[in-house]
Amino acid sequence: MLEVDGLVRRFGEHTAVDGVSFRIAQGETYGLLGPNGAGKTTTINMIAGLLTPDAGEVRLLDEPLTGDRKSLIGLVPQDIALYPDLSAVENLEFFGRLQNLSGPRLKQRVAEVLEVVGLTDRGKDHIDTYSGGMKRRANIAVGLLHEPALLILDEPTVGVDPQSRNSILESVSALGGAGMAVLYTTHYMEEAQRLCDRVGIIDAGRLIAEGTPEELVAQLGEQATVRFRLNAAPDAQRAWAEVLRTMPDVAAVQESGDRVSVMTTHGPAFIAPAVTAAREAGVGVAGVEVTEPDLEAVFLHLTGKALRD
Amino acid sequence: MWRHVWLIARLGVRRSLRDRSILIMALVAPIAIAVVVGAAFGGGASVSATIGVANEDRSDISAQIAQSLTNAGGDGIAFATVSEPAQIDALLDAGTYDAVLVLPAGLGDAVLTGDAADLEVVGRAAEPLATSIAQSVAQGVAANLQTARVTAAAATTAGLPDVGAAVQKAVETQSPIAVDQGQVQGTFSVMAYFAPGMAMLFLFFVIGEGARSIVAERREGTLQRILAGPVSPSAVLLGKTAQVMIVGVVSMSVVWLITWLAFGASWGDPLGVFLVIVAAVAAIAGISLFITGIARTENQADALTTMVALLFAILGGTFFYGAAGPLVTMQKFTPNGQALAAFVELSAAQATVVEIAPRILLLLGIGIGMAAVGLLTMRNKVLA
Repeated sequence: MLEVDGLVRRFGEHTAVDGVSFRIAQGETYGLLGPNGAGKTTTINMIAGLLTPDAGEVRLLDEPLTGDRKSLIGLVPQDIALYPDLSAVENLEFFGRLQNLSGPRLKQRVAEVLEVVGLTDRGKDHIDTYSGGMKRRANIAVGLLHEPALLILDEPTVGVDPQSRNSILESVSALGGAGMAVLYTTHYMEEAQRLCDRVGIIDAGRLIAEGTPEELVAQLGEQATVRFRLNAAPDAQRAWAEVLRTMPDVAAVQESGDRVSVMTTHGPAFIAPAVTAAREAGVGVAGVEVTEPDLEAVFLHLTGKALRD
Repeated sequence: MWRHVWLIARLGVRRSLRDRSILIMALVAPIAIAVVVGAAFGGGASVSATIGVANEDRSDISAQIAQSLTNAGGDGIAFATVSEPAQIDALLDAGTYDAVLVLPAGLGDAVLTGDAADLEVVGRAAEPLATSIAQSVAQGVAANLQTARVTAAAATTAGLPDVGAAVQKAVETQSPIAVDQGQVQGTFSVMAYFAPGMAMLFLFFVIGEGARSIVAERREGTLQRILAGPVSPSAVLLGKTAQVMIVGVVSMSVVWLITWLAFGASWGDPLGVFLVIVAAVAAIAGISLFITGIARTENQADALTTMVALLFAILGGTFFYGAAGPLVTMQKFTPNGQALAAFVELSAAQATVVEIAPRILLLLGIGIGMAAVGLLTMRNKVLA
């Protein structure tokens, strides 16, 4: 369905995307997981034809993506790209006509996508009267309108309340099941883990790992993540983190504000020696959390930093 | 592509018509200000002017023309014989006459021999309308003299013994006043001057906002969404240009119709008025697109538009009636001044479309040239 080969995009001296390649099959939901600034949006803008790559190629259904073939893609941008002074129906009708829908077919599709995103009752209300979650859902509806072969969703749940978020995730999950290829970018590992058949982990413009969530997590073996919440001076915290790095079976240590995350095969058994070392270093431990291996831990393992950095 | 152009333009027009601030700027404000200012300049009724007729020729033919003119007039327009042609400038400066139509020495002989003879109009900078009316009358006289010259040539060729009598008869029969009666008796509403002037001032803001909507849509993300579909950047730019043209022409036409139907202000030949409206809107749209193209930010474009709108309005004569001194020259270099001059010629002097064609072409040229630069800049900057 979608073949992305060696995409490169530079902005001046900065290389935002550096040789990204992946493929998405029909009916597959592919997650592009990475922190803010990793190059996710630049990558999808090149796939959607909004940015010209400095190198590399995008092919959809075995052909380059040009002109009218852009109708094969439905783009749901990260920001709400709707006219706030128009109703959802008016927005959908405008963007639908641009996609060459018209007449009864357009009206039918507008009704269908409003149903999919749960906005049938509010379709005639202006977008600026919607809640944040409803705007997100209307934003998705526009991307679905013309029944694209590939739907690209760029962080569609950012800033959304839990209820709307769940609704959006359910809708996306249903789309993949209906045979549509979906490219989903996010920095929420739980979304990638829940929705995606395969995940590509992107950092600093490079695709550093790819596979099913299970395959990626399996790379970590039995490693768990132990997260400490601290009450300490920065110097003392830093010194303690150095001590942790020297301890046996520690794969990675990452500091973020008043928190330190440690990847270790010892799991909960690591807590006791770590707290002892903290006491000796003058570091107060305010809380501890142990999590089983997940995509966040994979990212930490691969990059030494957290997804939300 | 043209379907996309139309869809984008139609959406823009629809959103503009829903925007109350745009309706106020495009319709309410120019009409309200024109009514107030028009009333202040004479109850919104008619212009009055005294046009002197200076006969430097003293032939029978020129005497006949001068007599015909001084017997004409009405509705605030009066013709009077200038007793001292050598003092024309002083008499104009003193305000004795608002404009003077000069029948030059040798006019009668030129007509009899079939040669060309130019009539001269001397006007006051402060009274462009009176000058315009005098110029129109001069054109009418010249047209009739052409008939007289043809008569003279025919009489000479035919070997008639008294060519002068034949020509005299032709001049009497083809009274120049008969040709120009419409202008002389016509009334010029001051509102027909201020309404288009104010409409053009506010159109800078209305059209400027439309032009900046390209940048605004990029900021809001809708532009990227449009371009993610099978829509070319050219279709977006043409659609936005069509949007500002439609909004501008419709709003100015509504101002025209309201001031005409509700206040009785005649702007002149409807076809000519419509063409000037289109040309003026094109010029303003071109300037607005140019400003949007060169500005670094939306706010900078907004500020520049305001500055340019006010500058052109002041220099173009929007705020005053009857420019003097260097302002008369500056008016020629502003789209507002050119458009207002065309409107004055249409309403006060009953000019034809052909007569105002140079001004229309100039305005269209300004519009097309500025829009081309602005759109190319935007294509590279905003749509890249």
